[in-house]
Amino acid sequence: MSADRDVNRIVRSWLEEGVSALPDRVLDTVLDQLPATPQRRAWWPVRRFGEMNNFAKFAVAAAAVAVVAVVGINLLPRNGGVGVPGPSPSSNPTQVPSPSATLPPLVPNGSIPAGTYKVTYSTNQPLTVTLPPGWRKPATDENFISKGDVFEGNGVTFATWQVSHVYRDSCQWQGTLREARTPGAIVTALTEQTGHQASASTEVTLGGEPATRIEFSLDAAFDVATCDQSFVRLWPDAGPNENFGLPILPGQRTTIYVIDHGDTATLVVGVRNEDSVPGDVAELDAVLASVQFLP
Amino acid sequence: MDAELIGRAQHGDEEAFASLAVAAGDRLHAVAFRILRDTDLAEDASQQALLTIWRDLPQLRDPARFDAWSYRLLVRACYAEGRRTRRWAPNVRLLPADEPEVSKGLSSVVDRDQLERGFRRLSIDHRAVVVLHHYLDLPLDEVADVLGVPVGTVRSRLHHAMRGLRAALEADARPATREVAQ
Repeated sequence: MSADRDVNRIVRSWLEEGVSALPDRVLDTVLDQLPATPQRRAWWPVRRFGEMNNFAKFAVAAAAVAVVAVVGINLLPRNGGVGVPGPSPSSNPTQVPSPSATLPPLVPNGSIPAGTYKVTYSTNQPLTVTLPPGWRKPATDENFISKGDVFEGNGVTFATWQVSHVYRDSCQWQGTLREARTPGAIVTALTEQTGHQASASTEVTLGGEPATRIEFSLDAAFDVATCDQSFVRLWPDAGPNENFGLPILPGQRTTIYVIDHGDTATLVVGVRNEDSVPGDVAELDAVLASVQFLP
Repeated sequence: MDAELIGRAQHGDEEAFASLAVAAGDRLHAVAFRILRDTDLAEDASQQALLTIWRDLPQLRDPARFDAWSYRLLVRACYAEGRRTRRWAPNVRLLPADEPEVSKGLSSVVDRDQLERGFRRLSIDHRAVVVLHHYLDLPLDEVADVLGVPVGTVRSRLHHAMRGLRAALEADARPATREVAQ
C-alpha cells in the first residue's frame, strides 16, 4: 500500500499549490449585494440549547452525563477484552434493550450508525427509535432524522414535536394561530385546518400509546407563492415561536401521529416526497413502527 | 468561527457578516479553486456561496457548525457553476520547467500536468471528496456531513477518485503538445 501512500502524498502536495486568497473585488461585490439580499428565516423547527429553559437544560445535561457514565462503564474492558461495541442494528423494534438509559442519545452530528436510540428532546415523553443504516441527523436541523434531504430532494424524514399552537390555515397562516395543547385540542385544530389536503383522523396505537393519525399532503402543482412567505406551514414551534415550524412542500405527504399522554401530547411526524425511493419510504414506515415510548 | 459574530450576522448585522466573510473568504475560495480548477469559476462559486451563507444564515442552528455548513453551501455553488458554465476545457497554467520545486513529493511538471488532467476527468462529486479530505484534512465522517451523503459513499468516491489520479500519474503517454495559459 506504499504506492497508495505515495499517490496520497503527491496529491496533497499538488493541492497545496494554487490560488488561495479571495480577491477584494469579489468580497466587495458580495458585501454590496447584502442590502438587496433578504435573509431567509428558518421555516422548520429547531431546539436550540440556548432557547431551552433552565430545567430543560439541566435535564438534558443530566441525561448526557448519565449516558456518558453508563457508556463509559460499558466500554471498560471486561475479562481482558477490548470493550463492548455500541448498539447493533435491530430489526425487531420490540427488542429494545433494558434499561433504556444504556441507549445512546441522538446528537446532530451527521451520519447515525444503525441502531436503537433514545430521544428525549421535542417530546413530552422519552421514546426510543430504531434506525437502519444510512440515516442522518443533520447538523443544521436538530429536530429531524432523515434519509436524503426531504426538503430539497426525494428524501424521507422522521421527527418528533411538542406543539402549543396550530394554524387555522396552513397557506395564509400568518395571524391564524389557535392554541392547542391537549391531544384532543391538537387533533381538532389539525382536522379543522384549511390550506392543504388532509385525511380523516384514525385512532391507532403507536409505541404503546394511544394516538390519532392524520395524513397531510399538498399537490405537486400547488403554487406556494400564493402562501404567506411562500410556504405552507402546519404549526409553529411551541410557545409559540413562529421563527420555526413544520412546513409541507408540494408533492410531500406527511403522516402525523398525535400521541395521547393524557394532558399532554407528542407529535410524531413522517415526511416523504412523491419522488421518494420506495425502499426509503419502507424504511421510514419501519422507523415509525419502531417507536416505543418509555415510562 | 466567532459564535457571537455569527449570531449577530444571523440577525441581519451586515457589519458582522462582513467580518465573517473576510475571515472565511480565503478558505472558501481556496477550496472552490481546488474543486473547479478555474480561477473565474472559483470566484463565481465563492461569491455565490458567500451570498447564500448570508441569505440562509438564520437557518443555521448551531454556530459551531458554521465551517461545515459553509463548506456544504460552497460545494453546492461549485456544482451550480459546473452545471451553468460547462467550461471544463482546460486553462491549465503549467509551471516553467526551470521553476524551482516547491512541493515535496511532487516530482515534476509532468506530475502536475498528469494530475491536472486526471483531476479534471473526475466529476465534481469526486473532486469535492478529494479536496475536503486531502486539502482540508477533514476526516471521512465530516466529509460525509458536509456533502450530505453516507460515509460509505464518501469512501467509495475517494477510492474511485484516487484510483483515477493514480492511473493518471502512471500513464506512460506524455502529452504531445503542452497546453498554454488562457
